[in-house]
Amino acid sequence: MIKKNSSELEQQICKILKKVSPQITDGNLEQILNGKSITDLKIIDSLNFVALLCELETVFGVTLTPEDVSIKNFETLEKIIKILRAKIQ
Amino acid sequence: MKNIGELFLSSIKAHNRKTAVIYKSQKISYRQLAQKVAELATSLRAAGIRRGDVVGVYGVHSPMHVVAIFAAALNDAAFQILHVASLPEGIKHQIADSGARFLIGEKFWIQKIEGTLRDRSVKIVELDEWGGLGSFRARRGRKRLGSKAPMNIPADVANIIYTSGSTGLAKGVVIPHRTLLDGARIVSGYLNITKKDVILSILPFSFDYGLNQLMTVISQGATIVMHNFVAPNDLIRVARQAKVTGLAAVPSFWPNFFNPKLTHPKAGQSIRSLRYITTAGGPHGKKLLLALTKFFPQAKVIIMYGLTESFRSTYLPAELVLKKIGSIGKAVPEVEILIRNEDGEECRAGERGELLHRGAFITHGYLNNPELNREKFIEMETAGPGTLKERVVRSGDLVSRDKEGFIYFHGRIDSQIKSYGFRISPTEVEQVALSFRGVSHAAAFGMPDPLAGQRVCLAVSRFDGEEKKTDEFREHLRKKLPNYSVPAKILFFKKMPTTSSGKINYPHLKAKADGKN
Repeated sequence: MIKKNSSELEQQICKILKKVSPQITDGNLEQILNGKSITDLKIIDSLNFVALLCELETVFGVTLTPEDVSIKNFETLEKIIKILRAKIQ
Repeated sequence: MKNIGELFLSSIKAHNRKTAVIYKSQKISYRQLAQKVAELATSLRAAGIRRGDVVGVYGVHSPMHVVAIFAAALNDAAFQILHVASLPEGIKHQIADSGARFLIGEKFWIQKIEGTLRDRSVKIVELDEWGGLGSFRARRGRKRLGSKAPMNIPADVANIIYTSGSTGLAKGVVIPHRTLLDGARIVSGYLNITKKDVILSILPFSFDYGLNQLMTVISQGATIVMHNFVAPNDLIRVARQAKVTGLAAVPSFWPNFFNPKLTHPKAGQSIRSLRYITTAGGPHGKKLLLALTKFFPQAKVIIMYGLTESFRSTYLPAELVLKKIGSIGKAVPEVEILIRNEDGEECRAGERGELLHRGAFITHGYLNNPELNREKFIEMETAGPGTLKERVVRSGDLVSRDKEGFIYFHGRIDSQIKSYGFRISPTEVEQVALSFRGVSHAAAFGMPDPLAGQRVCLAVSRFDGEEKKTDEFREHLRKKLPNYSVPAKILFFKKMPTTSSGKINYPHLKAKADGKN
């Protein structure tokens, strides 16, 4: 699953973001796809951050460790993809 | 000290070069903070702010809030912090209810609600998260802070805090300067806060507990570290770097730290400077307290309890936290806690009754709500026959006292739900449910939850019986309610269970939600 191209991964991650943070608008998703920081959009709080981690682990079959769990690693789609790819290798 | 504007002026005079705020690793000294406050205060004055005006503040927890609060205070205006988790309709109500004439906020947030404000004559002032003026022109000039001393007296309004009542929309609790000043003085007294302290602030200033942290910091010339909490590792890093000495949070926050997936079990010990933790806003079970004292062995853990209507009521000192598990302690200095049974008599040890707060901190009550004021702020004859009666606050909380006088919280007397430290009105949830087509009856209620305190449950009937609409209904609730109010569980009934008198049968609904029938 992780071998998918970045565009597919981005779409999948957006679906996950929508699932864990229902108040994300389509406009927000477009901004995120254009590289906008998730933290700048203020759409992730401590509750849905944990949900985001769990969903990423389940959907992509990776295991995140406490060392990975900093908002800096999940700020943008690019960074999320980077950490997912690093985990699978 | 007459008001929080004076408090601020005296603090910047005494602590000019000291760090007042740390945010995103950047330090802002009291002097720099004063400059930002002066710029905004002067600009507000030029824009026509008057004594008694209300200034709304909207954005994520950042130095902007500190600047806006004191700029409003220096103009003898009251501030109103609008929580970013509130939906635009909620913000619109709060602004209309308070009659705010100014709205200060970050552009990103203002854009979200601008549409809902079109029909109101609110002057919008954009600030960046650091409290710097954006599109609203800064009147930098020669105006010096303190050139016009604030006139407000302790009884004047400093702040309006919106909190959900047991019915309908959020209610504004009107807080006088006296309450904020007493809160700063009394709390810094029993927590021994001095200018050497560095206090981590993650709770919004729309929450009296969070606001009290800011006031204690300013009153003592200490430092406040503002952080938007998402991940425990980031908080620990920030606290370690800033050498944080005090931290306050609500019970639902702590389990993030005990989750081995999120952080290392010994990470808390790396904040060597941490001398105390306060925790309030929900139940504190044995498991939580043991985990907390183990995770932060270097810190004293203090339990606090308070109501927005009367700010701070009780605390349990660190040395008793593991000896008196489940207790919220005893009254804070200058306050007396009464526990009254249904006959209005003081309860005996072990007997359950309603907690009443008398003494310091009592606010001016709810804005635009005389009925609720009569219900929640009662008058008692405490000074002898024929004297004026004293105003005492009813908490709506069911408590008891042990033989040594320690108070224990048992739940709410009314139907209000407390989840993750937020007060949720069942009526508000029900109204949103009923606005979905096909729903004829809705009943929201709280169910105990070890993490959240309570979780929102919702029972609905005549949902057209079409399963495909279930997802639509859930989506409707998620869109129309703040995150913390979205029901964790929804029960569907063809006909709403009622008692013989036709009232909704809540025991039946709760048993069903609990999986017991």
